[in-house]
Amino acid sequence: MAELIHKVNPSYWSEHIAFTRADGVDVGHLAPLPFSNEALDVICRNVEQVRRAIDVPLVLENITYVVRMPGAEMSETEFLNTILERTGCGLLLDVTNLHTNSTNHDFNPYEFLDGIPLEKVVQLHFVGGHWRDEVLVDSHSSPTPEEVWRLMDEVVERCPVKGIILERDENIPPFDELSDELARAREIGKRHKRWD
Amino acid sequence: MGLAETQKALVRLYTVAKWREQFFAEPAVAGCSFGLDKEEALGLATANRGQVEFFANSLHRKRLGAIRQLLPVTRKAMGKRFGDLFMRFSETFVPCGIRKHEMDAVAFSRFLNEAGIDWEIPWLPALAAYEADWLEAWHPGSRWISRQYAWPVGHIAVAVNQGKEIGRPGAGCYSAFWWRLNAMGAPKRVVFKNPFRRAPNRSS
Repeated sequence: MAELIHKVNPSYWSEHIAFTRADGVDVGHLAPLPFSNEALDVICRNVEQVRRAIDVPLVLENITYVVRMPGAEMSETEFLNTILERTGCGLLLDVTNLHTNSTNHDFNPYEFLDGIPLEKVVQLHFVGGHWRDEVLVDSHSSPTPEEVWRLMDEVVERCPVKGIILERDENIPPFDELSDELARAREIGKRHKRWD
Repeated sequence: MGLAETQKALVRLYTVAKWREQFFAEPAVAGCSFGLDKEEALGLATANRGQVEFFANSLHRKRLGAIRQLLPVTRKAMGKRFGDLFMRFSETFVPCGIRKHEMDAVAFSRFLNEAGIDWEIPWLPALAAYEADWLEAWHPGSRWISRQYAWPVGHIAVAVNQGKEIGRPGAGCYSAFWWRLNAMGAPKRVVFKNPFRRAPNRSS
């Protein structure tokens, strides 16, 4: 990873706040950590470790989770706040993930936004998912829903966002549909004077 | 709760159905095998079982989606049974590493050939093996591969891909060779009926 980042030389690079393997077994997807002090310590230690190898700024991304992990010692926003404060990392806010979690776990995404350091948001991700067995799945497989567009509008208005990425990588539609979504995201950024 | 021990237990919970059954039936006993003490195991067992099952099922579906793209001809030939058999297989195997989807496809092909499945179309496992071997031939480190099949898999693959009638192909020994001169090039391939060899015992 360090070699790749050195070659590409991006302004920043990102990683998810999650784990994907343990004890030699791959989960095969991003899995949530408990919102615990021990998990905080491990994340901060890991960030410090990669910083020794990669001097490009790291931004951290929120994930979706179906399983609410037991063992929480704080809320998700407190968890996120503490990570960002202790590591000094920026936040890659996946607004679709926020919408998905708020739908599946019945919380208000706008209150969530009030609880996180919005000045640290560097970039956004967005896309649409699908419903299965009454669960909203973050499958990157459908057009962005209106709820996500509204969230994006709110976030771009309040945060110094540098970029937005459409993450459509399943059930790819005609290119016009993708470019229309990108145009709408660009327009939101222009309206809030984040770019020209 | 010890994070490392919890994560060890979680990866099993998410990937092994039998272990989920054991853990939710007797968390203290099952948790002990991953170093969780009784209190930690009981704490982890307060996780919503339905959410855990849903996530575990999503992982299988994600794997299925990946190997549908890696074994497209086999999938086309098998139809719905491809997904049904993959879900059965995926409970028995957990791939790992950066080439895990390829590893999954190759292992699934082996499963189709070795799991004692009753096939109405006898050449299906051979086709799966052929497509998995093709994946292996594309592997960056792979320069030369030779394989034997009991069916004319080259013709069958082309016919399935083009949606043509396959009829009743004759069994025999069919040899396939893949090779390439440099690691970055596309592999060349030839498949022919080999009169000098007996058909392999396995269907592939």
